[in-house]
Amino acid sequence: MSSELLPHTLEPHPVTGMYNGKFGLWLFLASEVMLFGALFSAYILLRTHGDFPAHGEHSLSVPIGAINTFILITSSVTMVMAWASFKLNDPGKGKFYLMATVLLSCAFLFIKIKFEYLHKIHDGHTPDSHTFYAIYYCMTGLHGLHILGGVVVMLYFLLPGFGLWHKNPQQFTNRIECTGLYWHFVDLVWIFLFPVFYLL
Amino acid sequence: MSSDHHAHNPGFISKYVFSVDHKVIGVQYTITSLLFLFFGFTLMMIMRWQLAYPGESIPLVGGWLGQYLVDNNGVLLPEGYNALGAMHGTIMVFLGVVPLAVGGFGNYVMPLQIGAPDMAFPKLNMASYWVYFLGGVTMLSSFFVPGGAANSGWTAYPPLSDIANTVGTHPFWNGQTIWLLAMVLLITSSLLGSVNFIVTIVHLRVKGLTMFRLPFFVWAQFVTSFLLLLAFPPLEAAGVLQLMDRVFDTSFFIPSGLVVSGVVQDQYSGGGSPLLWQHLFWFLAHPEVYVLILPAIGIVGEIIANNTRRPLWGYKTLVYSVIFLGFMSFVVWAHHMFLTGMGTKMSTFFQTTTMIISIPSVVILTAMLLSLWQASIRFTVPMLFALSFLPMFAIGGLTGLPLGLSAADIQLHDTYYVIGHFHYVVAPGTIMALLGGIYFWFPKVTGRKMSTMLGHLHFWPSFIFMNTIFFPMFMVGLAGVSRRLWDQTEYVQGVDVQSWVRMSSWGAWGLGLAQLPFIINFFYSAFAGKKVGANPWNATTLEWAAPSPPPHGNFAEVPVAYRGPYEYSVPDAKEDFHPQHVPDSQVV
Amino acid sequence: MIASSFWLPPDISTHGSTIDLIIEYVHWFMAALFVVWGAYFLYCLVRFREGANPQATYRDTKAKPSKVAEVVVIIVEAILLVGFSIPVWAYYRSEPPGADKNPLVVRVVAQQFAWNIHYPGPDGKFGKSKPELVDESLNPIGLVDGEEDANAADDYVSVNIFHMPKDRDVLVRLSSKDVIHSFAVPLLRVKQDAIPGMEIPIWFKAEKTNEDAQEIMKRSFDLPASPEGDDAETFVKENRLRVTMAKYGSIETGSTISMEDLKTLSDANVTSIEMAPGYPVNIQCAQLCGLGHYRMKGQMKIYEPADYEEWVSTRDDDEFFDEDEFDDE
Ligand code: HEM
Ligand SMILES: [Cu+2]
Ligand SMILES: [Cu+2]
Repeated sequence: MSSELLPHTLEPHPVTGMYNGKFGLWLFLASEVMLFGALFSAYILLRTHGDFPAHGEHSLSVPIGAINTFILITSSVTMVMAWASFKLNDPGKGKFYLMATVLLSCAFLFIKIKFEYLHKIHDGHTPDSHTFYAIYYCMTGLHGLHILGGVVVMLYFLLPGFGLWHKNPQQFTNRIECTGLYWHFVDLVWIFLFPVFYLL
Repeated sequence: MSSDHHAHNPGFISKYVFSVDHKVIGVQYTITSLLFLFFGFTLMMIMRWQLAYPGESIPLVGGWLGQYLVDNNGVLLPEGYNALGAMHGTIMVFLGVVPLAVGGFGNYVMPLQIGAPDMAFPKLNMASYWVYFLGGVTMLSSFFVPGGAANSGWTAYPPLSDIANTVGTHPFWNGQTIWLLAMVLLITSSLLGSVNFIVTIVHLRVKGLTMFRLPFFVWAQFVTSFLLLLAFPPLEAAGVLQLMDRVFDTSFFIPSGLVVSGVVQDQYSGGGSPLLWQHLFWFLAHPEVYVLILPAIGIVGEIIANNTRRPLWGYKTLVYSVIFLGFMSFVVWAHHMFLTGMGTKMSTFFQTTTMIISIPSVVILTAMLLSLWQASIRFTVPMLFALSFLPMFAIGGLTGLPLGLSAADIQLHDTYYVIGHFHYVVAPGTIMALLGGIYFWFPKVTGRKMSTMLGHLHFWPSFIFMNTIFFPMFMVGLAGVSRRLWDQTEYVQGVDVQSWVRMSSWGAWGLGLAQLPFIINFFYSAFAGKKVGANPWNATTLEWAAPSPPPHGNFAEVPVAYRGPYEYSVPDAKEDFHPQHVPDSQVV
Repeated sequence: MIASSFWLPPDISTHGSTIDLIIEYVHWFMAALFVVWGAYFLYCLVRFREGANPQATYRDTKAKPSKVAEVVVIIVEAILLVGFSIPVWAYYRSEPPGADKNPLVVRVVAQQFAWNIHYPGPDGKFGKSKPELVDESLNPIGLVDGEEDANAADDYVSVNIFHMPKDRDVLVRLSSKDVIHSFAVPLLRVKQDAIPGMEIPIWFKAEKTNEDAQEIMKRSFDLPASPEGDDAETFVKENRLRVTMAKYGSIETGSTISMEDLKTLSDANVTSIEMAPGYPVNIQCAQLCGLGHYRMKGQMKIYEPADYEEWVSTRDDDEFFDEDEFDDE
């Protein structure tokens, strides 16, 4: 093929109204919904089937969870700001907000690991101690991996991937938009995880 | 996207190994999956020896199989039998048929049929292949770790799979754990692939190619991709849970109070549910059945239209049926679980949905059969395979009925009847269709035709042996012989049907031999077959508008679609085919 | 084997005939469809081959017959479903025999690779069992002793042999102590997964005893020409699960045939003998459960009601455990 791009790499498709990457990302998110949906269903089945601790008997800390929820929501906001800045052709600001998102995610992970996982494990609440903890570690762990994946992608766009901005700012901005979509989804998962594990 | 490293002369590695061209990737998928199919089949040829001649040393290969599979005399061990069975199922389904039907045919043919220069995400496409490859290698490596490969069936039901391969093995590098890791890789590969397929089909169709002008094969791939996209994640979730059970001793699938070999399993907290796995597994695995069959139906549709020289009957009906099948396949899964203690309400629901899903299958088959009416049938080699698909798929489909009626399933569940049923769908069905597809598109890929004589030598014995293998299984199953038995002659029912069992086995070895002409044909024709032009079959769809083999970027000039996919024998025309890309002014 | 339809084994249960009927009807239906399709298919292949019909027809065929076929399929499936399968299943799964029928209640605990049949004893109450008490050779289901739980005192456990009377409802509470198994008795048309952590009830009633079943399944076998050599050895091996159904000289009714027996029979000029399965009503495990899955077999001993009472009164309840003699190699 010559050096031209595939159709709809940049310009939206008339029917779907999306460029290829965005459409692909939505499909990917559909599969992610099925993944977390399956795990939530598993949680419900285990909870109705087994002897789960009632509310208040487990030792998850609502304040810590709430702080982390707050951090993630903020990171969604900074993510939107980053995209908007690139869209408005302000890469300096865009990079700043992207960096902010990375830092917030790291804070989330740090709190999660340092003040939650390690504490729980120290108290003997390991995954094999009870299916409640098993599914808790499993789902929040998987969510944490999604956060980590997002961080890696964002760091890529901040460092080696930033070259694309100079070559093709529109394509770069599109990628940031996709990253943002993914990021909102990951946040949304947490918005479900938090009440399910901490409050119910 | 792919432009940068193709501008200058690409090296061998980036052209053939880490290629981003959908055609090269398609060929890579095809070759790899054919090798896996052959390997999975070899495992079964070994198992068939033990079934035909229980407790006798395996000839030829018995001494080579190693301590986890055979004893000192080269007799297959029961746990070896279980390992081969589990690996046969897994390899055939996840490393053989799906990668061939979707990764191979889908990748190669689909973009050509929609007139696209490539898949929407070429690099992602390459990643899918290599993740698949890695998954395959991982899966195979489990034969060599202490304790051998996974042996809890391709369904991997816990608690058996949770506790399997744990004694005298590495805590992590053992059969079942590797199986799970490999599955996660294979699922990831399929997910990447299906996103790519859907975006490509929706976004990259050429001008004029509306959804209802798409070749039926593309529709089949489209629905298949949705099934992969939505059904696989729950299995991935289940795989992660089982991995945690095995590695961290969690109890997702472990109920309280388990005692294995007299030892209380108190490393587990208990409180889990073995049935949770089955629900998650079959939520994938029933749609998976349609993933195995839909691309094959698509291929058969293409071949039939081309060789009957008339439009496929009821194109729209076919498309709607396939879409309906896709939807319904998500609500029938528990027909695999009738005997897990299900009450009347649940069973009524699932047997009703199962009966409903049989209707579109009947419609599809009927449409294909009606396409033969008033046709002008050419018995080319691909057509032979496609035609043989129809009755054998019918047998496979029909024998699903008694299994879907929960009362009849009481007697038939987990017997050889089930094995016969689904193999008629996937082996005499899908495999024959896929082979036909290889004969059909071979000229496009290589620019050469496969030998017809060798094709006949391949087809007829394969057709006969397929039935020799699988038909007796219905009788064996009805007689009450359970599946997955190392030695069915432990039961008097098994002794009674031993001659049927032997017949199956000899059929399997015969089928193995019958593939020799194919292998010879494949390699011979690739290098020395008769050269052909762009459209050797006088076909209508867009892939035949590209040169054979198509260059990088596929079409010399971007085609435009002027009509539906199967305009054969249009009245009052000179030629009996009107290719999609030729404007009206030039066809009459 | 006997003239039971569609290669199915004989049916000795009360509910089994309805299952067989469904299987039979479905298969006739399938066969009819297949024959119609097949005939049409072959006709097309001949009639519309290129040589016979060089010019295909473009326009869509009107396909009334296919519509009719589809409607027939839908109707037949609906009948099979609503008229047969759903009600049969409802009986099989939802209508346990009530106390008025005085069912024999038994627990079956599956394990790798055996069936533990737990009888409640005369008090009709099952004693408790505890995982930590399990002892594979002495107490396979971990039953507590009579002092801890009086209900356990008269309980009785039989391994791999399921004793039961004919003509009485049997209610089995099925579970497993390790992995998933499946309790399958082909002659009784019974199959049910045994799942650890669950106790699943199933019920059935036998119409025939073991002897009746043997009588149905007996067949005449030609003896090998020579009492020695490969043929003779094959004969003995292939019939190791069968017993004689009559007295042949010094060979008693109900014995398996050995190489010496072949000699004896040959000397007495017997050329064919009647045999039937030694354990006609076998229990198979139908769910892969590990390396011993293939040999996880049990047998039903179905008695005349009086004989069953006799067995109950002669078994040694203090022992509470009969390590059976049932193993054929
Ligand atoms: C064409 C040659 C084939 C032969 C002779 C063959 C034969 C068999 C037999 C005899 C079994 C039952 C083993 C047992 O129950 O102990 C079996 C199981 C199975 N086969 Fe095949 N098969 C073939 C092709 C395929 C194909 C093409 C697929 C899939 C697409 C497939 C998928 C399976 C699966 C999923 C199982 C169940 C494995 C398990 O029990 O876990 N087979 N095969
Ligand atoms: Cu299914
Ligand atoms: Cu078992």
